[in-house]
Amino acid sequence: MPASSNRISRAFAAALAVLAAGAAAHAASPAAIASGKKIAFSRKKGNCIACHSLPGAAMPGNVGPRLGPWIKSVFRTKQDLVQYLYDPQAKVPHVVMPKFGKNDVLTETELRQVADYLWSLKR
Amino acid sequence: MKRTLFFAASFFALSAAASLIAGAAPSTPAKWWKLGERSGSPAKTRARITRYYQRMFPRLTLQDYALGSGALSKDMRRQDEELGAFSPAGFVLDKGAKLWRRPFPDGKSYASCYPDGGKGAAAHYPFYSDRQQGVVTIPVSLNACREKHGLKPLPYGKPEIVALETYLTSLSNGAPIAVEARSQGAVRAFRAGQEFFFRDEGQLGLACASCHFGAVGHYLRAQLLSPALGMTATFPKYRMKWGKVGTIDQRFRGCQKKIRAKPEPFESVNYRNLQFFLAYLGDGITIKVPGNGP
Ligand code: HEC
Ligand code: HEC
Repeated sequence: MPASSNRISRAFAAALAVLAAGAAAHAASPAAIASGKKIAFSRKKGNCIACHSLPGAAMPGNVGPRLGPWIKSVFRTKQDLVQYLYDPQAKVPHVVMPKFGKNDVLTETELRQVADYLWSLKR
Repeated sequence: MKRTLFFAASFFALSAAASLIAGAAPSTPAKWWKLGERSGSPAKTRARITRYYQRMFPRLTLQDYALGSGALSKDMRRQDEELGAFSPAGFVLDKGAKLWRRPFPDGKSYASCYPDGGKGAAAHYPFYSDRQQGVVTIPVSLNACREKHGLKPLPYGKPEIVALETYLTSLSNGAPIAVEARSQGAVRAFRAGQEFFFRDEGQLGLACASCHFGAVGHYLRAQLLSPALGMTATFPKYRMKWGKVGTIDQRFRGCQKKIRAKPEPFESVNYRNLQFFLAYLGDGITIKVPGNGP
């Protein structure tokens, strides 16, 4: 049956993708994490600290909640976090946070680096 | 350090605001974007908006809103007052007064274009003119006056017209804002201003209302986000960042740049509608010009 084998291979591909994402979560390079932090702190790029407190941020804003290691329990996977940053309003309508991906504020690579950085936050 | 103290002092106010935004407290008006609905009369919209802020900041009186973000924090208020000491506002007023009195070629002067020589006139600005089919702001009226008396209009946003606007507005210091929206055209202009205020704009895709309603009372970096109510009462205003006295349109331009939208020219149709919308919301709030701020 082509249909069911298709379904099986799709499930297999999905499982692989999850595995790959998991592997990537562990494999985030120090360079990617450093770039992510730079983007989050930069006024011209993410400027996340205009609204969020992050470790080491001077005079951060508080329009949004403090960000820390607990976000790993808010977003089950790093990919979910990337998705959120891409278009937060898709998850929380009217949220006062820019659509970083959808509005081309940050590239896919940059979004992933920011997610790598957030995922790396420790207590 | 000061910030920390303020945070402790206003913990309740801020956490109340935060829970409103998160929609955690069911009895509170969490849905700020609904204030963008354009049904009913402008007076009804104003009442709903005023109620929104009053629920969020129950201890503020209507007059407190003239203080902008200073209404929400003692530290901010002190900072604004201290800035007053460095303000070149006195020079700007003197310059405005001189220009105001300088006779036109026909012997008349600006005072001839306003009832009572301009005393108390600014409280009724901006207004909607059926004849001109648009909102008339003070700078627009100043240039109309010049043209009526054979002079070329002044470029908007430049020191000369800002000084004149500052002086003329100061002749209404202590008077409550009294702007009306009765005619069909006036209601349309009010709604257009409201629509603009609630429209997502720029690359960041935020509306004026996102910050000044949705995140009011929160900090954007070190800046405390002010309510929309009473925004017009202290403009023209001295801003340390500008190093000069500037108009509310200059502020609109700055806020548009912040969300990476294209700023509009001074006194554009959109900006005049915005001024009208905001002044109408601030009805009854006392004018105090020039203001001071960071
Ligand atoms: C203009 C303000 C603003 C900016 C800039 C901003 N955010 Fe947010 N962010 C918010 C708000 C408000 C929320 C709260 C959403 C809610 O109430 O569910 C939020 C929520 C979040 C959350 C979910 C947190 C949680 O506990 O649910 C994450 C993660 C996040 N932001 C990351 C970022 C990152 C990364 C950046 C920079 C690339 C950024 N934000 C920039 C306002 C902002
Ligand atoms: C990203 C958040 C943000 C957005 C969006 C935004 N502003 Fe602002 N606005 C600020 C900040 C920060 C200040 C300075 C602190 C304060 O007074 O609120 C400010 C100040 C102002 C002031 C001066 C208030 C005073 O009392 O001095 C006016 C007027 C104003 N904004 C109008 C607008 C308008 C109109 C728009 C839409 C075009 C807009 N803002 C969009 C953040 C924002």
